[in-house]
Amino acid sequence: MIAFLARTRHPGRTDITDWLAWGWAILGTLVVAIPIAWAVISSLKTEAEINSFPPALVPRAAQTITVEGQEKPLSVWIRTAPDGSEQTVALVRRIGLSATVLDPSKPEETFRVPVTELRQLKEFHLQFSNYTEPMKQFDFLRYLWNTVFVTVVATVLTLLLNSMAAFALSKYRFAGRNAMFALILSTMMIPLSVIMVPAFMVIVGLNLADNLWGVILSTVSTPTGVFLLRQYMLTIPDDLIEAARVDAASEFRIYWRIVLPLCAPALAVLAIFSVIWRWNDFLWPLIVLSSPENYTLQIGLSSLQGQFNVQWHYILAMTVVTLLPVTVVFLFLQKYITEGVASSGVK
Amino acid sequence: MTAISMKDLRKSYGSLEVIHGIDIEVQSGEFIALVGPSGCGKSTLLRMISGLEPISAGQMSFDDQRVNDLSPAQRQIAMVFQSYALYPHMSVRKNLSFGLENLRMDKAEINRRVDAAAKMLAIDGYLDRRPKALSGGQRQRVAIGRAIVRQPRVFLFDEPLSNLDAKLRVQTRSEITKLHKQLKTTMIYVTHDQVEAMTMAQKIVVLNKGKVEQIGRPLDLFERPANLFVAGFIGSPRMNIYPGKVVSTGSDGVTLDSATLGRFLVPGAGIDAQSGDDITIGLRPSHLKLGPTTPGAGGGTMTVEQVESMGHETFVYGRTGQSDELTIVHVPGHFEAETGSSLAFTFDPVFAHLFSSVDGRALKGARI
Amino acid sequence: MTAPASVAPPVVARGERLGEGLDAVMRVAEVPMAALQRLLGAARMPYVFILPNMVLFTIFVFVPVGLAIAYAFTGGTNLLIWERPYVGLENFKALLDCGSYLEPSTCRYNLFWTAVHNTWWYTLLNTLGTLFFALVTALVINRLTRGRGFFRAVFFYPVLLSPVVVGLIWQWFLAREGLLNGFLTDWFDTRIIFLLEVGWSRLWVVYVSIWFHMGFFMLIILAGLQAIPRDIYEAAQIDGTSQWRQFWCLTLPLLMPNLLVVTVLLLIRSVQVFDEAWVLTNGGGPGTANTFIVQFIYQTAFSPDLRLYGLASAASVLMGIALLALTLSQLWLAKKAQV
Repeated sequence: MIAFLARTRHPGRTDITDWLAWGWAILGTLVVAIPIAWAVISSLKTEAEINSFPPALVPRAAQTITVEGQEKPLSVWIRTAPDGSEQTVALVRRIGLSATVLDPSKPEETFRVPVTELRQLKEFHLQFSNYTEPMKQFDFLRYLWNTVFVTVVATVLTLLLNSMAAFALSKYRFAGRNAMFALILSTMMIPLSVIMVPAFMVIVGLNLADNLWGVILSTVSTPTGVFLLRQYMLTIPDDLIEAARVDAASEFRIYWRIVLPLCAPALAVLAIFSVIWRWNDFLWPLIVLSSPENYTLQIGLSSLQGQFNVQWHYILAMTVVTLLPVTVVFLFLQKYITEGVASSGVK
Repeated sequence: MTAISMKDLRKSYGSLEVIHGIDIEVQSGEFIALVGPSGCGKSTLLRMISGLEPISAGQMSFDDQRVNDLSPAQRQIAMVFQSYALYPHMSVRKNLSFGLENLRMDKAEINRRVDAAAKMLAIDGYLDRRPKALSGGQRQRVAIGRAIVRQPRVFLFDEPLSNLDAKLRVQTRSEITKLHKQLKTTMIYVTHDQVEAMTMAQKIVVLNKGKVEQIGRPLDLFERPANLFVAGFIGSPRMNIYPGKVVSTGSDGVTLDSATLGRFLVPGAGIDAQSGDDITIGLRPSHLKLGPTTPGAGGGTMTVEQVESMGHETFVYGRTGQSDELTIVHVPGHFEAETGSSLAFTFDPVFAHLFSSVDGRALKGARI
Repeated sequence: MTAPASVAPPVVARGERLGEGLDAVMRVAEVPMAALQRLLGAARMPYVFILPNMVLFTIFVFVPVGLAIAYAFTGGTNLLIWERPYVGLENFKALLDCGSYLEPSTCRYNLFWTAVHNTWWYTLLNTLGTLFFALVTALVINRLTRGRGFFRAVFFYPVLLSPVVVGLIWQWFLAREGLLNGFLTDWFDTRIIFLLEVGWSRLWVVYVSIWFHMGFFMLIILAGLQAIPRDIYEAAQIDGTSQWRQFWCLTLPLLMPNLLVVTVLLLIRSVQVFDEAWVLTNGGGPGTANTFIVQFIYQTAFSPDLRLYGLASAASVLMGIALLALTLSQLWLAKKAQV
């Protein structure tokens, strides 16, 4: 009997399942982190580096040296002569398999060597222009602005409208209350992908096509937001509201001065979710917006792909820009987000 | 029928030691209770006995065999949890047989044991129900049944009655005691309720802050508490405590002087106290009587704060002396007094417990 | 009055300025609201509060639902519904017109059926894969004694990224000059252009989806795991129950309601796949290997040369019915799980 029980876990001692658990956790972290880290590192590489293969782990650029008599700085190479000796040279010109080089200490003398004898010297270099160029060249600053505009306005409106609706549903009894609540919940069953075509028709009908407001207005009323806030407001004691009414406060004042401040935590959670959702929205803005000056970051980012000559160094830099705000929010507010998701099963 | 020996048991969480060198000997087939206030370490000690909590230092043996490194199953113990820990998705029958299936016992034997235990605990009518369809008392019996079917060497109980209402508690107490008489297995019972310990156990271990204060039979603990802590813990309501001074010592006893209780001679030979020592006097509520102090006896007056009438007995709570010590007097039968009224009480000094003011060590006990 | 009393002093100053700003807004907004209240009475104010929300829901949800059904019964390429001819069940018939449902090439709209097949396989693999990894990861995190919060955050992080970002990061990782190919060249001396091969691209679409969304489902399963009382494991341990048996006989049955809810949520999500797959494969390729139903609807409606709004709506309606069935079963399961 005791022999059979020999495989049971000893408390306080680590056994194989603990090692496996740690292994999985660490492996998983690498699987999550490596592609992202790789994208970030690559975003700081020069175009030449990006297209070179095999890929280098550290962003580098060619080392250069200014030489007397030459207009532009020349790239630096190591030449291995047939006799085995090595020599630092600067490259003047390269044609086919033959290179014209010079010794930087004797800049007047140029000589030819076969390309096979040369090895390029590179140094650590972060190409920050990858980040600034698209802002100028490809209008990314505009896209950034559009996205910020949509996110902020949508979030403010979401908080406002959803909290008013939640207030009505939680603190009042009125005819049709249950029906309206059921209707709102039922919209959770109607995903965008099912109504995207007619929703676009509505946008066109309202003359909001290709307009940032078309993107904003349709995303403001979220059933999850109303549900979340209503749950929270139900816990606010009715006495507070009654007392305020006795004090002749208007209903709006009660909402604004009493109920809203009391649901600050729930509003904060909803605000975080709203910011993340609006920042990351893709399909709907794709449908609504057609002129490039109205594009959001996500649309602009994906449009960079379509180009024939894929400029990965710009794409990756803008990708990093796009994921930074959400990452920052996450780092500071991670606890609230994960707890909010776990308790409400929210998207 | 297993004897358990614990020698210098210690438990630390990191650098924090919570159990400081405990020595306990449990005889084979004994019912021993571990009592103490919250945080004294009794549950931790029980878990160390069970094997759920590793032992940091010291030795634990079952029948002279060292068990420190054995898992709970290897120690062949069974445990009844405070929360019963029943498997919510299994029927009562499955709850009882689940552990046995691990031992690869054959079906017939499992069923035999399950039916026998169910009958013993009067739960054979519920074998196909789920735990959520049972009352608290029934669930508790299933938890006990789960322990019985394993025919363990030792039964461990972790405050099993705390979640039951008072009436059920009294009823179940006697059922557990009956079970012990029937099975004759060694049982270790943890509780914070000293009444449970006093009524059920053959031996009690009083724990405080990770140390053993006293081990003994219930009555021994009551009549001869080893120190002030045990004296205050055992016995309900608690013992009355007063400060005093030794006036003189002699072969027949010591004469004490107390601001609250006056001067009196406490009879007894070999009491370890010197003239002039400070001393602590303990008097059980049942040893105090209302009435004027007769010569040779001690006594004082108290201002009544509260009267608790139980019907067949009454407890009068009041304050005495300059330092407003709490005094509780047990009065048989029915008694009434007004709050704030003054009552005189007295006692026979032979019933006085004496404790050292320095370390609380008992100097003299008192028989009932 | 506006800042809660429990806020720390340095924040109060900022909070007070914010409060003053909000107060100003309130005073402005209160004028019409108070007027409305005088007009309608306090008892009717809830209607005022809920009105903006209901208006938006109506315009952007209920009306489109009605329109979707209406459009599905119309034909032609005109945008406005009153200019479109009524065609009855033509669109549905066209979509469902197939020689064999298992062979997209025998169908009138073979792109639709290719999309259905692709979506079917994707849903199957994505659901099973995500379920497996989310369950194991939740068990692992539940088991860890240290670093729980850290790993939970790490696995959840991808969920917060946008589908475009995820698609691009992985496209780069799998690119011809990407890290994976660099690794393969170093160790195995080969190079695979993953996203140009049908088999590989499909595998990677599923993998990237799992990488993207697993953290979300992992959190839900973790919550379910933590709801299981700890002491039954101790009771099982005392009985000498092996780890495996504890998992199989205790954890799994008690987690089952939670897992069922997660599965249905996964199914609902998987059927709607589009964003990250479209970006990753740069248009649903190679060819139509990764074209899914939502992409079909999008292309059919919004490609300048198609504009078949009626057909797209019919497809939407069909998809909507399937999703409705799944959503209702999710609600029913969630209710059962609570009992």
